[in-house]
Amino acid sequence: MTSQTVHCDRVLALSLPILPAPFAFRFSRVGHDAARPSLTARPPRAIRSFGPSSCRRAVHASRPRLLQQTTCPTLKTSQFASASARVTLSTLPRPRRMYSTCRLLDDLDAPHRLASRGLGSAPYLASRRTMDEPIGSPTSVRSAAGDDRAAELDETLMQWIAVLKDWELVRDQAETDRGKRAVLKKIVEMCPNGVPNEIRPVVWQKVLDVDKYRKPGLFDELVARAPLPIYDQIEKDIGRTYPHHVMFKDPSSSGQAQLASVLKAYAQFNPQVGYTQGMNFITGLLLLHMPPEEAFFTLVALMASHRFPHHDASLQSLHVSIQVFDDLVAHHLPKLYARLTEQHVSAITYLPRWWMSGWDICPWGCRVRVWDCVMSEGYAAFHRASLAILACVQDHVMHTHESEVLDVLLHPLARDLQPALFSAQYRALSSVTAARIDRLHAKYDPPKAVLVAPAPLDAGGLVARLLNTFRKK
Amino acid sequence: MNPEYDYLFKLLLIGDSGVGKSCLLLRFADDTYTESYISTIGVDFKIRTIELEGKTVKLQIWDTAGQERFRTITSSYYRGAHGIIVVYDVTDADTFKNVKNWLQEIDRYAVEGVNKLLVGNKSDLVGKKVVDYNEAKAFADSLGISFLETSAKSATNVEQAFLTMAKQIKDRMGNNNATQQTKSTVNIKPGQPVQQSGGGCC
Repeated sequence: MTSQTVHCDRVLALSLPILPAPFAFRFSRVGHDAARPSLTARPPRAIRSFGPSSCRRAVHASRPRLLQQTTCPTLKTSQFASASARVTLSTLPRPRRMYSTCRLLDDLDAPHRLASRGLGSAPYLASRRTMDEPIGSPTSVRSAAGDDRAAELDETLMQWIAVLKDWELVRDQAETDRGKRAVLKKIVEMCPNGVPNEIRPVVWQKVLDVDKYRKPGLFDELVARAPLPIYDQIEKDIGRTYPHHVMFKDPSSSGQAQLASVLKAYAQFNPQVGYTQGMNFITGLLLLHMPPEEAFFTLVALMASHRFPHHDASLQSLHVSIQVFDDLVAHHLPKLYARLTEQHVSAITYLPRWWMSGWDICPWGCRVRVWDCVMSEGYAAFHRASLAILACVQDHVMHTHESEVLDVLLHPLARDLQPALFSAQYRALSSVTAARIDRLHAKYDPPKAVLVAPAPLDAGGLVARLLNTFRKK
Repeated sequence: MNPEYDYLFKLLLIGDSGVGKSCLLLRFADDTYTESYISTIGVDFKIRTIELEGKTVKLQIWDTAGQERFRTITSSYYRGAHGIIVVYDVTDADTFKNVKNWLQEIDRYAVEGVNKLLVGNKSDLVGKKVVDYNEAKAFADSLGISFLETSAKSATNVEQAFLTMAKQIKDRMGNNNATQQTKSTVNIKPGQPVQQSGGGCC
């Protein structure tokens, strides 16, 4: 039994309790059919044994067969990931690009490598999608939607793979580099449409530059360290993270142990932050896409990138960001702002829940769409996406009894937060740029001399600096 | 004047992480108990309307995050609260010790005269109980606040806890109205300080 066959069994076990009956039946029938080697998602032998050129030939031979394997909706999409990568390889002949392609295909075109890191097939997402993702989402593939849908997904995947390859080439360039800015612009244009499930963990890791943080053995070493006092709080929250999801629902389920290990490793890695409630949901969401070690390094990169900057121990940055957001609401959604002000519903009542939990208030399809935007675009998207969510629920808030406004903000209806609605609002807020957010931050949180003082601080130096400051005043 | 209710009270649940604030709220608002609940980040919110002495009382109940570092956030929720329920876990002595800190938070951030109630939750776990009823009762009496032991799991005293709180607030409002001879129906907007709506505290 190959490792990926085990993975299929895992998908099966996760999917059966929640899939609609006809899907479950088909899934079961296919999953146990030993005559369908494609279900193992292992590449043809030629691809494993030889380099990219033989890979290219093998792909052309195997692609029609791969595309016909559409019996099970949950498995079909994972097949497309590899199929698309191969097509891209054959349609991008330029040497420079080819080099990039091959590098990327180390991940994208070799499912056994992806599988060894637990990426690329997102088994848990497959099961979640059948529950939460609304019909009509660009990333959903259903048997009823037919080949058009599949082709659309194929096209989207190809676009993402192409842009990721370009990103690999310019990633280390300066921010002012024209090429880098062009690629970033392309990513920012694409992200409101969402990243396909199959490629999402790879996209997130690439844009966060997780490779830079990955150190072999570090995760295991951190997990093995002596417990910290903050572990008590982590333990309290383990059973209170996505308790309705099959992966996290009880202490014996795999997710709970993984969640504990990643959160504890991060607390060890960054004792200044340790653990702030809400990180459990963010880490849980990462674990729904990738195995613990990858989730840990992605979390490290995510926190270092200031895309989720509000989990510092003092929550000071959260207070500043709330003021920034208040300004944005007043400017972009004046009617809603007036209504909320009239009802004494300040941003601090709903934003901590939205932000600290990684938008846990959103239904799944919308939540990952928000994450796609924030991961791709950076911190400005944090505010832009939050404004888009407010815009989505605006009508409901305006027509809700005054005593229940906060209830709507903390428990919005799924119908108001369909991914397509969110994306439309998000696109309309293109004036919420990073430069603007920076200006607003500077307004509410002017740089402080003490905060940027160079380390290490010696007593004499500190006194001298203070005296200098005093003299200047 | 709002036809939907005679009174609107804002209640706040505070206390250490994991003492069962969310479970108490779930039991009171939806009359259910589940082991599958999520950690409260920032604040959660539920509403229940009750009948009290012939009046319709709408209770807005705010459930707050328990982790200490969230206190800078939760402190802003105290504004406009009419009643605050401090919850501890009868099986965890540390959470009872911290009640003093939570009461200090109330003194610091809530309006003067806000109604307070001390609740020892998880009373169904008799074998694991470490905080004695009499000790907690004596502590509450010394501060002049009401005290109840509850179990969100078995529903023991949950209803009473919230009704006691509502009754105390209503009495306070009634007294204020009587002394000022204002109309009998008080319409309080959420977040509005008690003094403004009730015309002072008792």
